[in-house]
Amino acid sequence: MRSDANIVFERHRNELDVTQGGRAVGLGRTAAMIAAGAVVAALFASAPLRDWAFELSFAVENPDSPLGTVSSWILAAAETWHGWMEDLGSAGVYQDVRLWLEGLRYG
Amino acid sequence: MLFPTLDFGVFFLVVFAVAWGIRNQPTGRKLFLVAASYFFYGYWDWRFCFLLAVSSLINYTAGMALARYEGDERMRKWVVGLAVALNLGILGWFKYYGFFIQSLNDMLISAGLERELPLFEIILPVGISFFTFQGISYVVDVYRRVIPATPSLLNLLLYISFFPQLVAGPIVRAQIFLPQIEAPPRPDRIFASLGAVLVVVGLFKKVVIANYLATEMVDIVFYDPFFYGTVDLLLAVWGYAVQIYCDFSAYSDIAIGVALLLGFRFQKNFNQPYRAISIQDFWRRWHISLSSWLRDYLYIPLGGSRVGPVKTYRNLLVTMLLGGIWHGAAWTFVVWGALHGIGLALERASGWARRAESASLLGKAIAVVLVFHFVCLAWIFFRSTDFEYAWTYLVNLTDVGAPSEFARPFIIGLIAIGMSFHFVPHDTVERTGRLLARVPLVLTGALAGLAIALIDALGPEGVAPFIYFQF
Repeated sequence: MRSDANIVFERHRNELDVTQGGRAVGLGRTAAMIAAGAVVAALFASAPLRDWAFELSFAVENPDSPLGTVSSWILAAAETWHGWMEDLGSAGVYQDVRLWLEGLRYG
Repeated sequence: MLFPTLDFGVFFLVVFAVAWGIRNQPTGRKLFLVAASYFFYGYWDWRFCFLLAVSSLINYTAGMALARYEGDERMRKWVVGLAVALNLGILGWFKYYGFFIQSLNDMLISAGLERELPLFEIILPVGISFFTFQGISYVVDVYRRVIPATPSLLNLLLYISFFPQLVAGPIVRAQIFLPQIEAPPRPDRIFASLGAVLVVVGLFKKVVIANYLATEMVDIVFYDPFFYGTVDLLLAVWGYAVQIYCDFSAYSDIAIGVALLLGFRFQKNFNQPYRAISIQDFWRRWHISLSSWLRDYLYIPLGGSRVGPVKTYRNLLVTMLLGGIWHGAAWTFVVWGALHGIGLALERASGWARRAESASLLGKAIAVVLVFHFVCLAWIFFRSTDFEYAWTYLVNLTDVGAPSEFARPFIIGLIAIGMSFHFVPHDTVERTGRLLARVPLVLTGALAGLAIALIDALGPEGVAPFIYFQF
């Protein structure tokens, strides 16, 4: 590779190191961050998660196929999760936010 | 597959886990990322995957041929010419065939020659302009000896198809991407908090700002500009300016953020474009990967600004005209490009950019307002269905007395929030990423998860595709 291509790449790499103040982290912490994000999102958005699982199972043409079995498990898990979140009260936040915005739109 | 969907969320979780899980097997990791990228692309229509593979094979073969004919400049010229022609041929066939045949038909009819030329129904593959430009940049850079040809087909397949930037950019140069896939991944150097901030900000811009502006006002007004007056038309064009920025920059933000979480670094694609003090400045801030592509592979080869004033103006006009056509097969895009080309030429002739640079704060503020409204004028052509609609839009803008339907706090608030992104410190996202890197990352993740759930709740029903998918 010609030296100026290396310079471009190095400059690009260093730019990010500088703007982030060298605050790169390891894979374990990144994975923990993503897992926490997924769990919290699922806490508050259990209703769309259930709808998504329903659409997924509906899209599978043969419910007896392995794909159909897996999608039915996903749907059952999503419904159970949504039930728990309703009991916990976090599922209602999603609907409250929607209603608040409706008020803003037409209010 | 669209970014703001649960489908993508699940897809990303799987890709993240597997790609990092097999990080010690370089070939396996690349193979997996290529397979995931083709799955991502084939989610729209699996037939498009063949086109992606053909495009990659053309560029790989051209790269290898350029390496093989090292020292034979004549052959190298032929190879690069053929590769560029093939790339543009594919793009032309899928994107411009219908447009040219229709235009030719119209010309023949207006000349009294009634001829029905064959018009096929061709489906436009998503993101074709982006991966074609990436392919061309690879071949030309190998030809210019900026980078060596990659002997690995897998590397090139991954470069062309890597899913975060595949369908709407940024247009990543091979000299930035190939070294990153040739080197082993670094699991100890992930900019996780910056990635999370970029994804959340991108989702907010797209799902809340862009989608509401589109559905609540912009689509309605541009669909029928005949019925609106000054206030609504002005709001709609401001709204469209904000919508297209929030839509397109959101895609880039999410793409850069997702790539960061997978250990890849892309360059910034937007830098507060509506605070530009000149049109030249605007193009240094808007879709930076395209404007720098046009500069390096079109404007400079044409002679750039080293060929005297008249030819420089010609080069600016040609570059922007082709930039306009790149966006879409319609005369309205040609006019959009021409307006920017003429604007850049006039600006150069008058020394506007230099004067704006040294102006007082008030002078700079006036320049920002003027440049923004010039950009808005061009957006009218960009967004309008055809010239009749664009012309009606411009004429009705003078209808001061017409009552307003859209001057509501909700609409004005959305425009204000969208514009506010331009007038905060330019490195706000990076600063936030840095700040969040200091708190426990699990907390950052929880905040990001909460933000994503709230954004989903705030957005309108359904998922609108990104505007730039059609380009």
